[in-house]
Formats: sequence, structure tokens, C-alpha cells
Amino acid sequence: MVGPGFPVSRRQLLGASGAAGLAAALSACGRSPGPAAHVSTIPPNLKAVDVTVVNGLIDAEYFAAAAYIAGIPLLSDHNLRAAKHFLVQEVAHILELSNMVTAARGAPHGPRASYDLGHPRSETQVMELIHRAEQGTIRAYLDAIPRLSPGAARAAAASILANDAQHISVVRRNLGLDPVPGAVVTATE
Amino acid sequence: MPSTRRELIRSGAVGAAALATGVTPSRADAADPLAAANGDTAILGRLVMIEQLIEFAYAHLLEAGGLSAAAAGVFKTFLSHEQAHVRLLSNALMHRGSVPHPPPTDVRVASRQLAILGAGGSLRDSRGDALSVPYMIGVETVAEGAYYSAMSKLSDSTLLIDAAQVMGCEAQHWTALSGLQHAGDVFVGVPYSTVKG
Repeated sequence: MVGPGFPVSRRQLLGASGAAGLAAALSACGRSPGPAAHVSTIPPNLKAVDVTVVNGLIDAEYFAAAAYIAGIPLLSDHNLRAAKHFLVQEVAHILELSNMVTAARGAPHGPRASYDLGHPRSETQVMELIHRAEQGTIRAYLDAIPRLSPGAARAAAASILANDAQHISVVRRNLGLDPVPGAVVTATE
Repeated sequence: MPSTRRELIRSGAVGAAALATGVTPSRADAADPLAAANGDTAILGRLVMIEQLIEFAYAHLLEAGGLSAAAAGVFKTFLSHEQAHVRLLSNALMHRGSVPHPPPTDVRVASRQLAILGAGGSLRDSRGDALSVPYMIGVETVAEGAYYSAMSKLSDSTLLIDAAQVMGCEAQHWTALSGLQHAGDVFVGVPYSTVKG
């Protein structure tokens, strides 16, 4: 579960205000999702089935964001810097995906009331949790991409997948693992 | 802050060492590497050609020497990944009844082709960490751009997954190479929330 220590409350970050609340909360603690948060150059050609697929991606991204939020209080030094930086990028992903759904006149998913993140107690356990959460997002994108009909939406999803793959690479390096363990990203490494 | 990776590289945040030595990594105004390719077979053929160039570049820079042990180790690993990409895509191409172009054999030709694709600097003139690492960051940027373009054009489901998996790997290469150059600075190594080349 999301724990104390991060200078923004869990209610603010994961409350009913969804992605906008996440962005506002990050802004309040001096972080910003940055220009990528409102890039949304994606043509709104999503069909109903695409909205369902993109909402699945939003769910995966919220889970990853929750893992970062829960873990950040237990991190230090280079792990802390990376986690804060990547959390901002996860929020940007949520905003971009939510914008896609909204542009298609759909209703973007918000965060769940709680997430079962286990009970990581050490810095290493937190980084392992983040690693698993990022693998989950990669799996979600690999599942979603062939099911998205507009090419621009597939490209947008792949561009986020690649960023999450970069997150995994840094997390693995910080865990003492091979940062680029294979020629393809499969979410099992 | 530059809004794209190509602009970031051009600004010097990534390629400062190369700029200091006269190399200009990655052109910000490079065209879409797949602009002329339409249809899965044509796109695959183009991706194979680009992967062959990247494979050639890693192999050439390893052979040219002057790399630190750390950089050489990374280059060897990434060379093996690029070889795997060439095999994967070539098999898919041949499965469709088409034959891959012959791989490059001449460094001048490969260097020129990579420059046309947007990789700044010169493969022929790169040697050692200070030139080779930023040069390959530019080359990996080209790869990312090619796959980003491919994702919107490919139609076959299996190819889409293959391309997404390879694109993720190329993005990891980019981050690892940046880590070599900037002592693992995560803000430079993962500068944006999306990867588009």
C-alpha cells in the first residue's frame, strides 16, 4: 500500500481527481510532468474498442505510479533521483493516454482506491517492486499495440513502451543486474 | 529544454564531447527513415537495411580500437543484439518471399548512408569513447525514429509486436550509451517521457 514519507498525501495522488490530481500534486512538490504531458498530437481516431484498450494501459500506468509513490520514501541517492524522475514520466504517460481517450469522447479510467503492492521494507525490495511494476506496463503495451487500430495510436503506445523499457534498464542497473539483458524487450527479463 | 531527442543531441547535452572534437551527432532535420516505404514487406526491408548499418557500425568501431574496456564491453553486447535484430527481421522478410539487401561492407558507404538517415558525424572518422559513444547515440536515435515510424505503418500483428520489442531494446541501448557518456545521469539518459527518435 502507499506509505507515508512522500511530500504529497496518498489521497492527493490517488484520489478521485485522477490524472489531473496526480499532475497537480507533482506540481505542488516542485515536479512537473513537463511538455510531454500535453503533447497529445494523436488524431482522435480511436474507436470504442481502442478506448477500452487504452484504458487498460492507463490502469497499468496507475499501478506503476502507485509503486513509485509507495516506494519513494524508502529510497535514497541515485535510486531516489531515478524514481522521482520516472514518476513524473509515468504521470505524463497517464495524461497522454487520458487525453487520447477524452479526444475519442470516452471516459478515461482513474486510479483505483488502493493497490496491493506487497510490503517492501528495504530499498532493494522497493526497486524490485518497481521493476515488476514496469514489467507489467511493458506486458500491457505489448498486448495492446496490435489491438489498436489507428497507426498514430500504435506509435504513441510504442513510444511510451520504449520509455518504460528505459526505466527498466536503469532500475536493473541500480539493482546490479544487466541493464540491457536481451535483444528484445519481453517483460520477462 | 529541447522538445525532441534529436534536438537534445544537437543542443550538446548528449554529444558535448563529440561537438568539442568537431563531430555533429544526429541531425535534427533528418527525414523519416521509412518515408518511401509502404506495406509490411517494404517496411521490413528498410528496417533490415537500417539494422545492418547499425550492426556494421558497432563492429567497425570495435575493430577501429581505442575504446575503453567499459565501452568495448557495451559495444560487444549491443553488436550481438543488432545481429539478433537483423536475423529476426530478415527471417520475417524471407518468410514473405523477399530477400534482404546485402549487408554493407565499405565503411565509407555505411557512413554516408547513416548520415543520410540522420546520424550526424562520420563513422569513418570515429574512434575511441569520445567520438564513438556519441556517434552511436546518434545512430540509435535513427533506429528509434525508424521503429516509431514503423509502428504507425505496419499492419501484421506479429510484426508489430516484434517491432515494439526491438524498439524497446534500441531505447535501452540509447540510455546505456548515454550512461557511459554521462556517468549514469538519469536525467540525460532518460530525458523524455516518450521515445520517438
